[in-house]
Amino acid sequence: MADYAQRISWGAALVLGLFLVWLLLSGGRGWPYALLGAIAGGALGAWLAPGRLYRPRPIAMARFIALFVIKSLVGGVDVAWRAMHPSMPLEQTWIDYPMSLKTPAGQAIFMITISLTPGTLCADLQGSTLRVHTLASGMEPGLKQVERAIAGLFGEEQAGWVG
Amino acid sequence: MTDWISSMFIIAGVGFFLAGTVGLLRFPDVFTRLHALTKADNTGLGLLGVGVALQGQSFRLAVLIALIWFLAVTASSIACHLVARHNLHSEEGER
Repeated sequence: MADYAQRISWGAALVLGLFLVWLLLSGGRGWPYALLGAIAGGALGAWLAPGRLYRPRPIAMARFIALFVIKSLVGGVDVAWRAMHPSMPLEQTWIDYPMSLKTPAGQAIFMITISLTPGTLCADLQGSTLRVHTLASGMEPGLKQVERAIAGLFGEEQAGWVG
Repeated sequence: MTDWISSMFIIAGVGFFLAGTVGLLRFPDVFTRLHALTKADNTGLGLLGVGVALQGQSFRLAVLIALIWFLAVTASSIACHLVARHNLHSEEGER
């Protein structure tokens, strides 16, 4: 039953998302058709999507997006400074980072975000251990912060993932 | 006034593209060069986008530019990961 309610809220979020993207791209022309299409798309998505669906978490989402934007902008400033500095301060290290994220989607988002975080670059995944290349030592706390934000996105602290 | 602020953003953005290219030329190996290319260019594109959005004077345009930035950043991060992984594996193969 909980699964049923989750599918409905997921479908509703999908309808809203599809409709907003349409409005954005078209500037509002022919919106009744778009609304019908979005409802059909959301219903189909909620009906056909495999596995357990995630509850939409707008607050965690907003927090993660803010972190994503800030990290990627600061990441550029950091590496630009290293490139332009006359002595080019690079202190290359490799970290093996054991991920605590369980959902495949969460792991993928984490790997994408790591490569944008200042001084870190995700190079490989073995099981649930990431091989991360860094430009300076002491990068783990920043990675932990990103990982926590993503865990919040999927509600992983509260409940374990059931495939 | 808006023109001034917008040109400041665009000039700063171009500066980041320049810094990314300098990093690509100066840095010693593939991994450090990837750092320079992906991160500096993402910041540059972001600042450029803010500058252009200010010129556009429309909310919809600003959101569209933000969407483009997000897609470009995600794509560059994935491309960077693939190049890094390929290089890591071929280095291990040589040893």
